[in-house]
Amino acid sequence: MPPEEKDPFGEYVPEPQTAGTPPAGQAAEPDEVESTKYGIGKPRRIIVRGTVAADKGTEGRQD
Amino acid sequence: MQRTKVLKADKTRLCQGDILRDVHWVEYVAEGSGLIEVARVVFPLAIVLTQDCDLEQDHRFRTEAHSTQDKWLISVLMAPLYNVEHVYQGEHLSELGIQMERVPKSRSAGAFLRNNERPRYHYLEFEDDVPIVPSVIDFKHYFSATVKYLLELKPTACVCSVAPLFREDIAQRFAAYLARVGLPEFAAAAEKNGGAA
Repeated sequence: MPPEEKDPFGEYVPEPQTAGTPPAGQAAEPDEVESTKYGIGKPRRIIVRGTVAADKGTEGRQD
Repeated sequence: MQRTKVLKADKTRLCQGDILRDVHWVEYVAEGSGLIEVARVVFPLAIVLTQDCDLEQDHRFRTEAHSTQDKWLISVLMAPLYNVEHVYQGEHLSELGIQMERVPKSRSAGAFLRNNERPRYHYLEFEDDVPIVPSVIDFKHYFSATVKYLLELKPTACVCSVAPLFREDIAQRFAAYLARVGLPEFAAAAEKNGGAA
């Protein structure tokens, strides 16, 4: 039998449907409901560098 | 999993169970040769763990006339909330250069975490109207912040406050975690001592 011919005695197998595909005639529902939650990011480090101003008002401690 | 109930936050004072956004914690301050370096860690979300009666007394003693400052707190205990999806991957502290243990979401370890069967962690899942994704409090990472700093932060950074009973559940589990007794590993110690018990 040439490969392009269908087997007349073959069993009918329906096309597999994609999950979530609605039956014909029904409106499709959105895949995802928009979330009102925000994701929490990860903790991060901030490093600040600067110069120390001379403290002219303090005298050295004398023990 | 029972979803955690929350209340609209009381804006007048700090409360146990308050969840605040972008809480800064000073990691270190280094000074030398006229230069100063300050490192801070910013936690995207953190929860107030200090007892509510202590916070209430602190507020009263700061805002009413009293002959002493006896009930003033010098710090408030907090713990960070991590996105549980990051915790599953062990990547929640990756931006601090810290690799954490993975907790496979679909295996027993993930279920234990979500059922609050691991003393170190407290899993939180909120109602749909609370804008926080499922999260985990890590009791090992508790830290402190000053009352003054948190009071200034709260008006703009408070997301919500965990409702009584749910916050007591968190506080009780935190207290139990801190109160655990660390026993030595006798088998390891015996091996180190040449097999002597």
